[in-house]
Amino acid sequence: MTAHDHRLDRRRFLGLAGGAGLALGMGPLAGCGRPASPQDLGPPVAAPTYRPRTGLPEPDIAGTSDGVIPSSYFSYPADPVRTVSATPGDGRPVTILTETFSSIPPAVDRNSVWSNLNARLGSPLQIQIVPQSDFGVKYATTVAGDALPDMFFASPTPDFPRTPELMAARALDLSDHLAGDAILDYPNLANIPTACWDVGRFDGRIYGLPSPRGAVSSGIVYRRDDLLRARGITEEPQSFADFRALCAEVTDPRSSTWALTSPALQFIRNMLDIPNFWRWDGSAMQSWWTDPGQEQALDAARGLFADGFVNPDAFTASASPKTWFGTGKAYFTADAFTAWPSYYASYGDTEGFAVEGYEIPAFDGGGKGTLWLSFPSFGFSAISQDAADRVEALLRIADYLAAPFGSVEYLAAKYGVEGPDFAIKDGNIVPTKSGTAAAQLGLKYLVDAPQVNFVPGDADAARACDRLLRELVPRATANDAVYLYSRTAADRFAQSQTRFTALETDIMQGRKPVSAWREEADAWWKRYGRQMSEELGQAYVDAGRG
Amino acid sequence: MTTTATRVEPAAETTNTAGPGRRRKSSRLNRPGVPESLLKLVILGFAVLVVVVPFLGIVSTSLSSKEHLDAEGGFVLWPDAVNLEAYRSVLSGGVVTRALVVSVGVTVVGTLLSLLVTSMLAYALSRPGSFGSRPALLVVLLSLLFSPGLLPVYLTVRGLGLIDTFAALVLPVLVSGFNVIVLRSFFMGIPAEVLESARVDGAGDWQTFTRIVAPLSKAVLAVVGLFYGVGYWNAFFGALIYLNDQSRWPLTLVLRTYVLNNTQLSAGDLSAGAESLPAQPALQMAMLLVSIVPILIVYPFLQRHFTKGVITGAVKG
Repeated sequence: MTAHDHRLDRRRFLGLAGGAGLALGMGPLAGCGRPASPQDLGPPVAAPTYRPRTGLPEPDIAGTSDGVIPSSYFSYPADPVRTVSATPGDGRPVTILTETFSSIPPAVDRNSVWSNLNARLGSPLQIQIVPQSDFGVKYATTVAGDALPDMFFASPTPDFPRTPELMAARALDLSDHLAGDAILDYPNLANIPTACWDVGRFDGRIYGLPSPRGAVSSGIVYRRDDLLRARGITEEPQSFADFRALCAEVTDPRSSTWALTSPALQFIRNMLDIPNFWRWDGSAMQSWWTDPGQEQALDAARGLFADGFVNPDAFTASASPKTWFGTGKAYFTADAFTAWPSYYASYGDTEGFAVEGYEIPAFDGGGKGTLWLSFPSFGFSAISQDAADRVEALLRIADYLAAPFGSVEYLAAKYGVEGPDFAIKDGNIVPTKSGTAAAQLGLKYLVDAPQVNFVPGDADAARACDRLLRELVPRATANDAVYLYSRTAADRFAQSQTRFTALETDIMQGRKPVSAWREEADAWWKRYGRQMSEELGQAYVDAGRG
Repeated sequence: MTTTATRVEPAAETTNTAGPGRRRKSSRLNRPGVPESLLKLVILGFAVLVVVVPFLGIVSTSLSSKEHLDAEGGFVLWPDAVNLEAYRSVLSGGVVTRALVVSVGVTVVGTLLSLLVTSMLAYALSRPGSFGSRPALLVVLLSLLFSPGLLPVYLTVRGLGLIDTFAALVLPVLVSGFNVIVLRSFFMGIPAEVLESARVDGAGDWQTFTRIVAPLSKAVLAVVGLFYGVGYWNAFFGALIYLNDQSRWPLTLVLRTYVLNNTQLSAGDLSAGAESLPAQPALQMAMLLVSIVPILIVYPFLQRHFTKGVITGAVKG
């Protein structure tokens, strides 16, 4: 063993020590558990007022008024509007901690997107961009070392579940600035739908800034329409049996082509109307893990894999579902709506390339399944209490970063400077190679504008995506426990999910029988599930949802 | 001219210890037969293929065009044409080049410092009667048994004001207890007469260490140096938690974002007709190769030191 080793098994120790470190870092609040009851903080504050921006370019297809189904644009508006008139920053550097799912961008001295944004904001952004896979560890050490920056991505991670305690101890209560009509001082933030703000509310107060997602982050099964048409297949499956038959028809291992990039377990669960994590049945929270339909879903998925309809590498670390689907080595893949434009961007130059999404049939036919509606927000970010003296400047910067699609600020934050970073050709934003890399600043996880359906360069694809959203979303089922707090869930949900995910994988690959699921689910319910259900049920009622 | 015909006894028979009734087996039987040779060839050939083929695939994928990769499902064994776009993308923008410089600097400086401090500590601990050697040795041994954990180390580094400095990548891992024990054991094996003779000649401890002990220890210092060097080169976790400025990241941490964060860029980042980046697999493989080339270059120069073996001794006994 050398001193260079920071073995991964220390992460578990870190997780435990992180709790101890948090207690150390929380000073006088150490050992108090939840630092204050709702009664101590007064009644819950009003949700931020939702006021959609006016004066924006008209969409080609208007979304719903609640923002659940986004507006669709076939091209970027020729005359972007200006939504922020004054320079938002105060001249002082703004330190930020955020995560990224991409490779890191060039440093600010070689990054025109970053330097341009600094100039427009009037405050240089000092951004710590951490790979998403490592964010939990970085976050925990930053908290333990009392080194939180001015703004930081703060969503719970398996390494750090005690978010409400942290918010109360270290994050700024933004209620006075954002609750009710106070948010109207920040018009772009007020343009974010109300449901998104629950992600950053704890003990009835507002601590977090959301990154809206909603329906576009929901998962569907895509199909290669061009490949299916070439085989004369145009009908949609009306049941699982139909889907299975379709998989059998298109699978051809001799040409390294399989129907599926994965067993599409969520799609099957949607067919069986299994709850989206938690479902309120009128008196209690029911868990998806204990739903009777799970065994049927797992058996169906196991059958797809056993019969060779799924790429054999689907469960390996080298799995590349997007590549397999994009290169025609798979006909169907599970992905979110947001992937629609990226498939066209990456593979659209393939002749005839066309993707579509499947509607969800009922498992046994004769009806429809239910889409799982994704979370309203991709996590949230918070402002450090140490930055209390400049909270208005930081909120103005957040307001800039949340500028909606079709604005000058949106282009600057997401694409950079026209010329070196992107060009606008025929209504499409065409990033340059350097601009693509430079724009990966991770700021969209700090705060973001409401999502839109924008498939640049392909109006038909945008229409198809919109059509499917309108078909699936009205029947979608949400997670009834979304953004509700349960102490047991905060402590145990992540490890429970790891266990169940591993069991799913074992069952689908035939290493364990389907019956193993019921044993695990029953054991989990006795150990943690019932407690979680009770706590979440109480929170559901307290939140006025039940 | 006379010739002497001498019957030369086979060497085996002159050393026959099995008795007068037994013949030593012919040396012919020491050579492997054809079937055995073939079997060895097949096994070793298979082992070579297991190592070489994936490496060939990495190189080929990094040199392949997007069209070829799309046609092959993302991994090729032989490119249809050499395409350097992935390398241009990886090395442009300055991220990888800067990270490479950081990695080289940290590795060279860290290795030299670690070797110096570790060897000095090991030498002091190898000398009987050195002041404080027992408690110091106990501390070194305890460090082998358990680690204080990441948070105490992090808080110590932070308390010393080393956060966001290159020193944080070197100082916390400067001395490895394992390497101290290895060197100490070696130094204890140096004949005492060698050191005595140096002392008789008037050499102090420092002169003895630098002029006698170190030159005699080149092989083991090379091995320990390689351990440290590879450790510094591969380390990324310290950079992740101690460095806030991405421009100071070493190459391995940048590599991590390319390989682990393999999500393709999203709708907001790419458009049809954009100056598209090379295919993701090509970028990842190019990044992999860029990160291992320096080690591949340096290692052959160090390898010869390992073949010298242990100290032959300056005292003939």
